[in-house]
Amino acid sequence: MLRNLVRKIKRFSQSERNKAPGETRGTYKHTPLSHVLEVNEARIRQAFGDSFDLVCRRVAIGKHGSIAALVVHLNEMVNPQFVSTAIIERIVDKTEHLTDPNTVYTQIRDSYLDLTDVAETHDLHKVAYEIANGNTCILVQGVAKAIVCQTQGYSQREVSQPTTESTIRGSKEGLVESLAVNLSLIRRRIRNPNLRVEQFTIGEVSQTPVALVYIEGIANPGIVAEARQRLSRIKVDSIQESGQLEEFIEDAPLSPFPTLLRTERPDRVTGNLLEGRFAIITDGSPFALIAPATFSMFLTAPEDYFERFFAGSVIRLLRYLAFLLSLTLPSLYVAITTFHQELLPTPLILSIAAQRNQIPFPAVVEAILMEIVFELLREAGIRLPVILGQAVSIIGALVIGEAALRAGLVSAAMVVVVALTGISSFVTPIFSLAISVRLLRFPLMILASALGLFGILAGLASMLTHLLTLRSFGVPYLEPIAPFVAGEQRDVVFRAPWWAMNRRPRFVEEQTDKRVAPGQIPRPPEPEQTKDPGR
Amino acid sequence: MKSNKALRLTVYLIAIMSLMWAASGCWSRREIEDLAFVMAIGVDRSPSGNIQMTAQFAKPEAMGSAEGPKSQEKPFWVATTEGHTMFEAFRNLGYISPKRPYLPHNNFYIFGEDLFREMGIKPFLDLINRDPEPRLTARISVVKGATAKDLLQAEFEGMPMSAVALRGIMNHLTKAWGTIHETTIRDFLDRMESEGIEPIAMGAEVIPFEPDIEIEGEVSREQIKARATLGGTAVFKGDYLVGWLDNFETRGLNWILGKVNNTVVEFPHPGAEDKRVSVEILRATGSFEVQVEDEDVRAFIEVNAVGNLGCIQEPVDFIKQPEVWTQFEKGAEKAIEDEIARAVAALQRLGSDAVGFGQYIFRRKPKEWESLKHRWDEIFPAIGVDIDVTVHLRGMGVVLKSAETK
Repeated sequence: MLRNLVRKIKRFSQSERNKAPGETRGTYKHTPLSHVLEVNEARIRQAFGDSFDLVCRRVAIGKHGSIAALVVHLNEMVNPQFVSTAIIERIVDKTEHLTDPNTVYTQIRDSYLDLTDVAETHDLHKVAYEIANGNTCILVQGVAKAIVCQTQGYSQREVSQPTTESTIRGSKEGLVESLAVNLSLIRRRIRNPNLRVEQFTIGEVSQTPVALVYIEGIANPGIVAEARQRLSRIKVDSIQESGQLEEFIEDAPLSPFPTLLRTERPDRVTGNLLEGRFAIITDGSPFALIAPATFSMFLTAPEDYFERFFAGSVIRLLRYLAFLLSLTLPSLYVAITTFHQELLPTPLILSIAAQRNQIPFPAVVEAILMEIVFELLREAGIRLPVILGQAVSIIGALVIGEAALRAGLVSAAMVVVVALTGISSFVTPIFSLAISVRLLRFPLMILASALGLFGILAGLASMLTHLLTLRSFGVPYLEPIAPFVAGEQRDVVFRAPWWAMNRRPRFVEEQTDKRVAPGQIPRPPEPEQTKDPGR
Repeated sequence: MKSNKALRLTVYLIAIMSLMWAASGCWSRREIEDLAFVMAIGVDRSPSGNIQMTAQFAKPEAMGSAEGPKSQEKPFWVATTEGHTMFEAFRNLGYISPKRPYLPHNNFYIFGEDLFREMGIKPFLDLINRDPEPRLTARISVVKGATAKDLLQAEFEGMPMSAVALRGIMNHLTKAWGTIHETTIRDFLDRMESEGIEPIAMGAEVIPFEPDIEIEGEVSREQIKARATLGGTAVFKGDYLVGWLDNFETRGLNWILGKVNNTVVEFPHPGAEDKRVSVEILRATGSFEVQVEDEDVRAFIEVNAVGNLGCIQEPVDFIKQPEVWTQFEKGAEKAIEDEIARAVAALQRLGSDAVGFGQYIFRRKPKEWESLKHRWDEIFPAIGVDIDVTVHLRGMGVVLKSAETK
């Protein structure tokens, strides 16, 4: 019976797969435009189901207004000022001396429009989608073609500070939901024609524009081709956020670890582009995806590169420590207090023993309980309106922390452990890695409660083995730690000074061009130049 | 197909992990609150001739916390059991302690002197050596003239838990006097098993408490029966206790072994009758050599010490009499020499080669040791010793002259 069910599911999923999602819905197949303006208008109206925001403006153009034309757009997707001055005004004024519809059409297309981006189509289907995309189409009576004018103008968020990755030093700009704005943020940082932007339209229904960005000559063409191939493979009705895209193109869909880096910072995008990676930017999402992603990238903050390298290195070291703490601290507490009491110094173990004396739960229950409470508080803090955020912290700190302690439900040491774990997990700069750590903490705690330190070690060993098998677009996830690449250690745990970071990661196309010209260490001028100052 | 395989693997892994949790039964799991932390173990002879074990347990809940005043309750409790063997006696603690007695945090093994009247220490050490729980870094000490039980009931000011307080005294004496030779169980076993050297243990004493000072507000003085201290050395031969070194003989031994860190040496003032001088030794190195020529064995002991002038009872003008400085150095050298000579004489009298003269021969001249070792008991008491002590005094403190009356 079960086998039948599995077979049915398989058959179902196969039949689904064979059919492109768009086909199942009521959209247009390839339909040529008609010579008759009224037919075209009717068809366009039909395509939009007479939506009230569809504007079909009949304009009389040519000599004495002898030729009928149609300007179609969606009311709120275009800049209306633009449509009236750059299109309608001009096609009425400029065509006053013309009588032949075909000439009118060509003249409009080639010279009259005050626009930079003008295209042409024969297809009604295309016309409808261009209108849906915020463009304006011009149709002329007697011509079976349409001019597509780029007139997109919809409200969008201003470029503002990135809220999920803030820095003290460094650019304060964050990506926004508009693809065009995001591309401009990137282009502005790399003003080089070699910066390539390839556009994909993903989502049969949503028709979301997605851009693949890389630098020709630095990015490995094999990796870029792989990205291109994975993107074009996606058949889905809509993409609303880059996270959806991530799940379609990642290397290890079942791994708890992310194999694509998501970021809200344009400087992080460009920094990675310059190291030979590519970025995928999705319209409607302020998060860019970067790949190939390696583990060390997730523990890197942009500030590491902007502060002087001593500070950058030490803070990064601190971040690695915090990563380990946030992963293992609760399980270490459980293992040590239930199996290895001999490991702690006597005063400390006595202090913990004194606190645990009245606690009704075993250490592992206490730990899991407190971790769940902490996760609840964190989730509540994210979901709640900002105004209520304070209420959460009061409940969290006072009610749960203090009262649970006083009620003897948890020990003070456990509260310290949970708090330290929480703080440590906030240190991880990329949230997607912090989430995996949050998840992995629980199995580790269970292992610790069953087998002590041995269990933690077994858990960490299998986690490490898993990490070693991971690849992101062909690049080993733990590179350059394993496989060890000596030359790249300059930017893993420690960050070498900029004048010493002369190599790109080894997966880039050509290693020959150095990032930094050699011998740029600032040093005092040579003695010859300053000799005999008195003379 | 690949994802199917991965999925199956994941399912297997989860199944194995959950089984492991259930099947292992949380092997050797013990919650911290179910443990009674043993801080010190005392071993005596019971009236019936068995082993009497006294365990001092920490009482963590009485240790006070950051909040609220400390309770008047003592932070430890003491239990006594009997048994034919150490192991049995230890397990018998389970009849008294509601929590499982837990040894790894034990600091001290204390033996009553009486225990060694008729028997050696070996039978008592086997459990400590064999069982994984006790630490070999715990210190070993023998109580002079009292039982270990008395010592564990003694009280201390400032550090209410006597095991911790004893450790404090031990650390202080080791760092500032050198009149004690800090001995761990491992040191003891090493010495016992090694060729040509005899084991020693720290000496401890119970001091009966007679409250001669009354301070208002002090807590329950009348309840304190005894205090205790460490000092001196219990000298063993084989595994038998043969006698004691007093504090300064112990320091004499420590000079030879280079175990003196910082100490105070005092000697008669060279320029004034009945007045004395103390110097502070900042660091000292000690070494010895043993020469064997046919049947004649001689030991050469060399000690180098650097120190400061500590205090003088009679002022000296060092500018007018610079030779006094050298006299002070000579005086300190003489005092140290005397201590070393006393220590060696005491060990020779007890017939226990605790310095390790034999070990020196064994290591450097193993063939000669073969012929000597059977008669070492006769040779050792007669070994001639040359002692060469050099003291270099550097500083005179923060004043040039002593304060003088007008």
